[in-house]
Amino acid sequence: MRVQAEKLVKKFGWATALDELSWEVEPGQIVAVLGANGAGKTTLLNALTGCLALDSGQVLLDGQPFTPDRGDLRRRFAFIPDFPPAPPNWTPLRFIGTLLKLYGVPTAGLEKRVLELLEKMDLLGVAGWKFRQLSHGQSYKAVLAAFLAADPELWFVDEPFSSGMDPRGLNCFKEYAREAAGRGRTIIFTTQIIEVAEQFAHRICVLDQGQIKVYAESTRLRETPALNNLLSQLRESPKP
Amino acid sequence: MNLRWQEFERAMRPLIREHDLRHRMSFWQKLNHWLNSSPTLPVTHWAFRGVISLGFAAFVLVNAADIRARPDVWLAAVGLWGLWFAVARSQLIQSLALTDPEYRALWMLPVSVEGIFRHLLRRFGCGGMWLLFEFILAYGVLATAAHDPLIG
Repeated sequence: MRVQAEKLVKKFGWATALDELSWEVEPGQIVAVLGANGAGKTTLLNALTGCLALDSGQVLLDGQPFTPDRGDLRRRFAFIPDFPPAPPNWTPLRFIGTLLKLYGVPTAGLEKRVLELLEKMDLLGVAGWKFRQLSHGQSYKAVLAAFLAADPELWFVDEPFSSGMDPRGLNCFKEYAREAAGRGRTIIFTTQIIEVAEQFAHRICVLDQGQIKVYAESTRLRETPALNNLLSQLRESPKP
Repeated sequence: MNLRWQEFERAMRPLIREHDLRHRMSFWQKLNHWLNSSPTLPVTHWAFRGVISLGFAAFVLVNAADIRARPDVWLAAVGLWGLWFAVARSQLIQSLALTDPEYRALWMLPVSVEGIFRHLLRRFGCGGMWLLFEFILAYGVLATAAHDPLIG
């Protein structure tokens, strides 16, 4: 699924979170959005997914203007915030069922697939528990498992590598993302960990003060001055 | 539209039951785990609401004779009670959007704005059952006064 952002503007009072941001992501790509705190990463994801009303600009998905009332387009992508709001009195099983129903996932072989996913993510033992009885990492994995089972065309994932997931969950996400990108799925995630972005993503988008400073293949990113600036920002230790 | 997919849950439950970690816990471990899990369970809320309803029922039954004697005054009191609850609940709707995790979870899912509204309305409808019970009780006692003509 192709994602296009056209001159997105979002202001919070005097602060400009997105400053006429234009961007295009081709299908079949794993894209890391990299930036320091306050660079506008989460705002960008919220804007692209329709969770945030923009001051101006528009988002196009597969060339069609996307607004939150476009249910047909909404069912084609997943959005996982950094703190996925899992209802405390729901079980992961209920969440997965609800999500699969909303995405209209075909039922053939579904139970087996969900069971395999739960086992792979080490969630089988707690799938019948309430979310309030799970740790943050387990809740995140349960939400992720639901979306993995739904297998949407486009993914927006906010800070998956700082989500509190254990290595099993992270590996599961990485394996799926690589395999899904090969099938033409698009995965856009935010992170502050440059090494992860370089190793895992096909392309990296460096965001600073609501603007895209560079959007390049991850292998060529070290050559760009924008990354060096970001590196110095992220690695700068606080003065005593 | 019911958002829940109960058939799927029913089919999956026996498959995950044998792996459930609770089977390996002793009774005390289970109890401890239940008590230590975050107290977002609305037990306190429902218990409190139940006590209020029981108190209200007792109050109405104890004053049944007086209610029958002065139905116009009590009708006004019941109306005020209902109005107060309606205002309180409408304020709750406003604040719910920011705090309720179910509402925020639905925003994360492909549910239309109308779908979210219908889902929340149904939850509010269930919550309103308490008020309905109290109204039926209060108006039931008032209705018995209808045998005696109020006017004329």
